[in-house]
Amino acid sequence: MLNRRDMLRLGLVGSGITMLPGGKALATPSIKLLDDLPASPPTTPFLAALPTPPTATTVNAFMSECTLPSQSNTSQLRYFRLITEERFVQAHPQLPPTKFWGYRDANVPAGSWNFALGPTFKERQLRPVIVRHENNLPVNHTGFGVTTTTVHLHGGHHPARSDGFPGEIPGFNPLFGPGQHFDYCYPLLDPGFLRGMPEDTERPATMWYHDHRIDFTAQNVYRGLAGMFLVFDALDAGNENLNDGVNLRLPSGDFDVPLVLQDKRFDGAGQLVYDVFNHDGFLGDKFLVNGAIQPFFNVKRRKYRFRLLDASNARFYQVFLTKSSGQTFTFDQIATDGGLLSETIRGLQSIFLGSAQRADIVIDFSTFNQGDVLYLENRLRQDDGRGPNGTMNPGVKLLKFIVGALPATPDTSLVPNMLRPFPAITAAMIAAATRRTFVFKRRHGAWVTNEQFVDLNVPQAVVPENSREIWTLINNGGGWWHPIHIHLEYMRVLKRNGQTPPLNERDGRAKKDIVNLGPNESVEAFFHFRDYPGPFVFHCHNVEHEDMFMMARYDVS
Amino acid sequence: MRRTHTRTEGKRAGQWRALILLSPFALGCAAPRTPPAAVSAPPLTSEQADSPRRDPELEATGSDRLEGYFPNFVLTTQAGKKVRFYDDLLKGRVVLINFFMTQCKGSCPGTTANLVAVQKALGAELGGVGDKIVMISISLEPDVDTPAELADYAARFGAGPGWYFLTGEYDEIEVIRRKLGATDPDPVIDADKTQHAGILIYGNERLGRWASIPSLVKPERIVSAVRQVM
Repeated sequence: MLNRRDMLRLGLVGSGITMLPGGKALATPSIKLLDDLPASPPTTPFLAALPTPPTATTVNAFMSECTLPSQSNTSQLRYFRLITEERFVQAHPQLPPTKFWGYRDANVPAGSWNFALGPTFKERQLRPVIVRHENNLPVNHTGFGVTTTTVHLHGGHHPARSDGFPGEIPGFNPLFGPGQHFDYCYPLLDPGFLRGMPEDTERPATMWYHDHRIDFTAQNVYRGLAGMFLVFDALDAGNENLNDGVNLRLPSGDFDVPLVLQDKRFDGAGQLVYDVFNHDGFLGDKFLVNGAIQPFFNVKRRKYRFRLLDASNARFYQVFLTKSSGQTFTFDQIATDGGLLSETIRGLQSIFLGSAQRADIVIDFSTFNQGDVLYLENRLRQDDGRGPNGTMNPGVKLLKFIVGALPATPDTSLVPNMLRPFPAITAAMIAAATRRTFVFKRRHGAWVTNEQFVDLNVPQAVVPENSREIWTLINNGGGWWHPIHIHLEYMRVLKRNGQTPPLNERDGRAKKDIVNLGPNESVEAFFHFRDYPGPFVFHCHNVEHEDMFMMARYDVS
Repeated sequence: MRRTHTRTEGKRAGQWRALILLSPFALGCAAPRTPPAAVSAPPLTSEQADSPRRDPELEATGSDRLEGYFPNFVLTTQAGKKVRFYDDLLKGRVVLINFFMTQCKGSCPGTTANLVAVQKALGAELGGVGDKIVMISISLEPDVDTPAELADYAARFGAGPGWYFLTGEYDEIEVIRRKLGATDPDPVIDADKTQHAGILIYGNERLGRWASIPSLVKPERIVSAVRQVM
């Protein structure tokens, strides 16, 4: 069990998690099913290179079934087709190919997309995008997962119809099955555009897209339905050499690398093992980055921007940059799930991530020598879906960095102190905000929000468009951790447990679209609901909890 | 917004057009683009998207079928009949399973009443409970819940045919309970029968398609959940 000195030493204080409760529920071993899942086959770490899924490529225009706002600049409209399919991909050289469900760029023929993850979108704010997702999952599917799906672009400000609403309600069916498709319109407009007050400080950086199908999200996401969606703009231009006085010149191109962290379990035939009777939160014993188990990554002696994503169903991570001696090295954070920070946070020991959270960090490998070996190491211990229950040192080495030579062209990228400054919410706005409270509780093995199981037909809140609200989110769940995600808008975290929040989630420094609620924790967050009327949801992003009804619909009217 | 369809428009397309016109989600029209190749029919509802073209004889095998996972203990029904849990009740069927006690005064009475409504709704919508679909309620107090007690309980609540109330050996029922995930990871809570899991485990054993749902949600919601695994 951690004491405060341990937590200080490991850099866990002020990282967005609280002291773990003194010994009670989390210290006791969890009830194991009598047939514990057998361990995955042994695999030698760091045999395969880090996969880098290709960038999504456009297709010719098609008549889309979704509509863009009139404010969209349709001369810049880009069309994409993605195929949702079943494919076999090797997760490790020592395992037979694993059957995954994944997205494929339609411009790449079936059988040639050799990645577990879908294509990485690299798009630009204000340049609208339409994605036609075509479902080509097998009609004769057996086993876990269901073939009707919906796609949520997580972290984005989109119309309700294109947000991946989980299930069918009268007048709206977002689900599509094999042989069907659904068009998603992503205007990528700045929030507030509807009333002529777009806020360019509210732009996303690192988003991801994944299945969001009611009751089966955990199973479908575990099957592999995930991909990255990066958004650039004048400030974060995606070109470190562009020196126009606006561009921050953050590390770009080959030096801007998403790292998608997942944990999975495999059987002797290399196939995914899942437990459909586990509603606590499924944990794997194999750690994947970008769809490969414990890969290596050759790095040049220069700065890299790594976009970390916890894409696990239920696992929390505390990642460090380490050497095999156990020594840790610091790095900087430049973005969260809510986009670029206002200012860089320098000299972090570690990053704590719950499911679906993102953190963009910069590691400067020029401070190391050619031939040095470093690791992205997870030192958080977690034995069941309730949440982390301690730390471990050494931890699990997720990714091996092999430091090579200096880059061919000198590293001219920058990591300025000021990134995307934005004003904190004022005292006047706080005083004027409508207040709501949502209490999450466990009820007989399932989850309620304000005493209600999710009912997609009944919104738990109807917020007028343009309204400003403060939501207090309370975890009353008795020893459980919940990463709580609200769709549509980024939130400003005002208070955590009644106190000033840690820096990397604090209003004025960061925006968030997901907050971790540890046992008995509460968060007060400010929202401004803009532009898009219709039904949205908020929910726990431990997807096994989400499927056990830990979700609520809210409408923007 | 005008659209061209290259398929015959039917009732569904008409509904779809209404959705676009009346939808609060339509915020304006994009500039018209070159008409595309054939526009696909609108998305089917979830129950249609999956079933029509699927092989009706489809059967999962091996690990997709969770082969060897379900215990085959002999339990006793409210009619005093001995049944093997897997071979006689689960195999080849769509099942709805919950755990309860006749003496439970907490969530059980409401749950059983709710499941009676579910049974009726399944009769109205999915061909009813009895052969292809069975309902199973397993006693957490098998020493108290004799077949006679179970029969009395079933009769009092109005449970219909095809719904098996089961008793048996306590330790064997514990194995089933843990296998089906009607547990709490905290051993203290898990041991407290008054806090037993109020979930309904439902699945299509032949397809290897399983999920769970709180047992107190509306009957229509449970029926639409069961439809997802049919």
